[in-house]
Amino acid sequence: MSMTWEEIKTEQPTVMAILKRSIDKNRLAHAYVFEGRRGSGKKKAAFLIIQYLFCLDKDTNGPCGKCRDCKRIQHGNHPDVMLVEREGTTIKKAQVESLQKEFTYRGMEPGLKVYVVNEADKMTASAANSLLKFLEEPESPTLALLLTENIHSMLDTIVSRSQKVTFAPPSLEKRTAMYEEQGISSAASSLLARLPDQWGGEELSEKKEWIVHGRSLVIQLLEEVHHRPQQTLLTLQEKWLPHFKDREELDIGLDLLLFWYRDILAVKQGQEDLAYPDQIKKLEQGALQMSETVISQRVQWILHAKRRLRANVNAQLLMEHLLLRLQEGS
Amino acid sequence: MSYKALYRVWRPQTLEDVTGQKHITRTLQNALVQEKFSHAYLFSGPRGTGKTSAAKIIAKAVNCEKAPVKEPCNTCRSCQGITDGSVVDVIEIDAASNNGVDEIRYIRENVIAAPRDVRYKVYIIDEVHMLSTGAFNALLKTLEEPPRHVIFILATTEPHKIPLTIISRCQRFDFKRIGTEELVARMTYILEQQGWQAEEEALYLIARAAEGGMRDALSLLDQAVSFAEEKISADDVLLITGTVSQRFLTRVVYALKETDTTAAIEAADSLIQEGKDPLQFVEDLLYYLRDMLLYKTAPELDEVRNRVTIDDAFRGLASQTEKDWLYDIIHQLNECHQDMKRTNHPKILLEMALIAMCHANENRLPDVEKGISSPDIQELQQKVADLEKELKAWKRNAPSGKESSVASSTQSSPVSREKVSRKISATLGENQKINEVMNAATKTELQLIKDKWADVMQQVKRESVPAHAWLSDAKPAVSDGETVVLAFQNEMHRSMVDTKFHGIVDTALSEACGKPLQLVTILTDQWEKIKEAYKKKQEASGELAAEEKKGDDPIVDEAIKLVGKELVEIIEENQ
Repeated sequence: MSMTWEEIKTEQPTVMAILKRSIDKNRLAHAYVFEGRRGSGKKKAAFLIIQYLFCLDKDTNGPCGKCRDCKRIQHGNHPDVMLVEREGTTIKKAQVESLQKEFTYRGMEPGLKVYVVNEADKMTASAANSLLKFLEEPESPTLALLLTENIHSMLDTIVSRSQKVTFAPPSLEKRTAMYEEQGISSAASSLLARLPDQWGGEELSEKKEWIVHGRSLVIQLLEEVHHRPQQTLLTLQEKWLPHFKDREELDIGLDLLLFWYRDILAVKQGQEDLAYPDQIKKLEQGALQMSETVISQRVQWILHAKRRLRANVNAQLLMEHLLLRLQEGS
Repeated sequence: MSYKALYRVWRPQTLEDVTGQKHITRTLQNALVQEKFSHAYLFSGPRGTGKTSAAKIIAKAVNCEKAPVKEPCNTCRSCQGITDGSVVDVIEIDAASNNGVDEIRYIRENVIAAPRDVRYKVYIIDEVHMLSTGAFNALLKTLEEPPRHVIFILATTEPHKIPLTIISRCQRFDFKRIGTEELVARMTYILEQQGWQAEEEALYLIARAAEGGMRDALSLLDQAVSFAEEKISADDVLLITGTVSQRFLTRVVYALKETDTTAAIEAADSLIQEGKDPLQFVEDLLYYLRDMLLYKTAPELDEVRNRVTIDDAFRGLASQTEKDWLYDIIHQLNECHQDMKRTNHPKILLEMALIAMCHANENRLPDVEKGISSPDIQELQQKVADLEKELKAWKRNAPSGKESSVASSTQSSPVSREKVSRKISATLGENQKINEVMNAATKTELQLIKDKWADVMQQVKRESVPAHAWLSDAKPAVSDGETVVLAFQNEMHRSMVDTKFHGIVDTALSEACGKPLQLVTILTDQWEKIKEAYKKKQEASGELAAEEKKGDDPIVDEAIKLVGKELVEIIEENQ
């Protein structure tokens, strides 16, 4: 809960404007869906909004952050604010039921009761359906905040019962700058900024050396794909596969490959924001050799490979197949 | 929290108010008046079309003190009791939370008891698709022959999940999506009642984004009212819904048509920057193109189009596009739409789709050509090929003797002074030419060549593999639209291309760019120097003409460095 009201306001101006105006006009709806990419500050915004609602000492600029209620919300101790997180991989029906039961009781303190469902798209079908009626016509004054990264996998009927608030994705420059401040080299920062924050429960920035090594592997491998095709499969076997060991790591590896081709396209278009800014010479050469159609074809292949990876395809066969395809027509 | 969402405040209280479902409300009204209503109804349809509302209205109408009536009076004791929930005989069950056999058994046991306050016991089972199989089957017998005082109303968004044995025991009503006009009319009415104001365009935008769901529309309206300062404007709505304006869509489609990838990708970029959903954008674009297709095929069908307002830009664009192209693009967008749901790089996917669509026109051309190829043309092509072969054979025979003689002469006599000087003067002449090219050169021309370079290489490769190999380290350096300067790393490569494959590269260039282009070759080192000199000259332009000559000096220096001072003879050539 490090982010303050002011920070989130500069980060997500539209969202905060919509929410704050609703509160100030006393027109806050009973249910909201917060939708946005990971790291766009949904949860932080949600709790700040709740603080703003409960704060004893608020002014027009936001919650004070010092009063009793603010502190209790910050520490997750407020009796009228509930957070539902997934248990295991999904949010179960029993969780929603216990939530409903909790809400049939009168609030500990008068007024509003709030529940926040994190990763609401992870609700099972029956959990989501159980929430429907409760969401539409709660018995007591209630505010529901559903947070999700993927609104399209939520039930239509849930979304239509709530107001949708879309969070802008965190800007690349800001994220790059953030990683650079942490003392990570600029080459790795620009890649980290493009990858999701967390991977398999681990902070990705902890693995910066792994990323840097992976990065040089990508450059080597692609050099071979396009100029020394006979060595490609050897490098794949000797270096690539030992480095990107399991499925999740290989997924990042494919992302890194993807960014390379995306960069070539960016160079072709004369755009500035590159994932591999120090490799500009090679990228320019690539841009000369490949037409846009070829690049887009290759990116499609990589995306295709990513999809197959998720379907548990053998990693080695997948990579060999991909590399052979990338070599075609070069 | 005294505030209540608009869609709850404005839940319809009479059948007349249920918007856009005339076919259902009329039937129900007649059934109510004639007291011929069934004991079991099934209401199905997409979200926000009035299923639950209609169920509640029926519950009131059958129990209204003034019954038989068309509409509930909403003033008598029973009606009000049902509205505020104090009448225990109207039971609303959330089937999603109570989906087991036990809950149904509980209903079965209570069905027999006569109603307490009103005439009919009404069971409204909402989200009925979530009942378990056991529960459905437990309900079957009760549903078929309930006591005279019981009515069941089942409501669901997913009728396909309901067993056929249940459906066949109910009167089924399919609620359809509510049309844009009807949504707007209802919203206008509500706004009037509440004393708010809104731009008409804003209402249409909301109605389109709602996709036929009244609840969606009112949710959005609610949000817009909260957000807007005074009057709800179209911009407010665009911000809230995350959709893009039609102007933006027109711009993107125009870019696609003009094969302007840069513009298309920039558009995608600005879209992401503003925090809009790429998937939503693809959907909007799909509808835009669909409407364009409809407009082209049947301009008089107004009500079929639901997204686009026909303005001049749209009309202009429609007249310029072809149906086949639209089919292609819609097809590709559809694929992209499918893929996008499963990817975590929607932006990259969108960019790739945009590029693929930009090139949709080019890809189709060969097909067209193939279509034309009738036997006559094939015959002609064959003839031309034969002629070419013959011509080549002639050429090979004729100069071969000459070439060998030249070779022998160079072998016999040492390299003569004149020859070297001629060679250097030739390169100087080239330099002169390059300078001319540079004067007339533009960035866009170079960009064009660079864009097409991959195609050129492909073309060359098809003609001759060695030529492709020699050409592989060359880079287009500058172009003025007539001449293209190629910079080589290596003198060997340069001379090979210059002497042997000049023609092939020339034709490939011209074909790829669609206009006659000539090739001039140069070494990268030299090119760098010329560029430097040119820059200096540009800076010093307007000064003495003598300065101009200075531009050539480095090349002469280079020549001296290469072959030694005594072999160089500087010849002034004024071209």
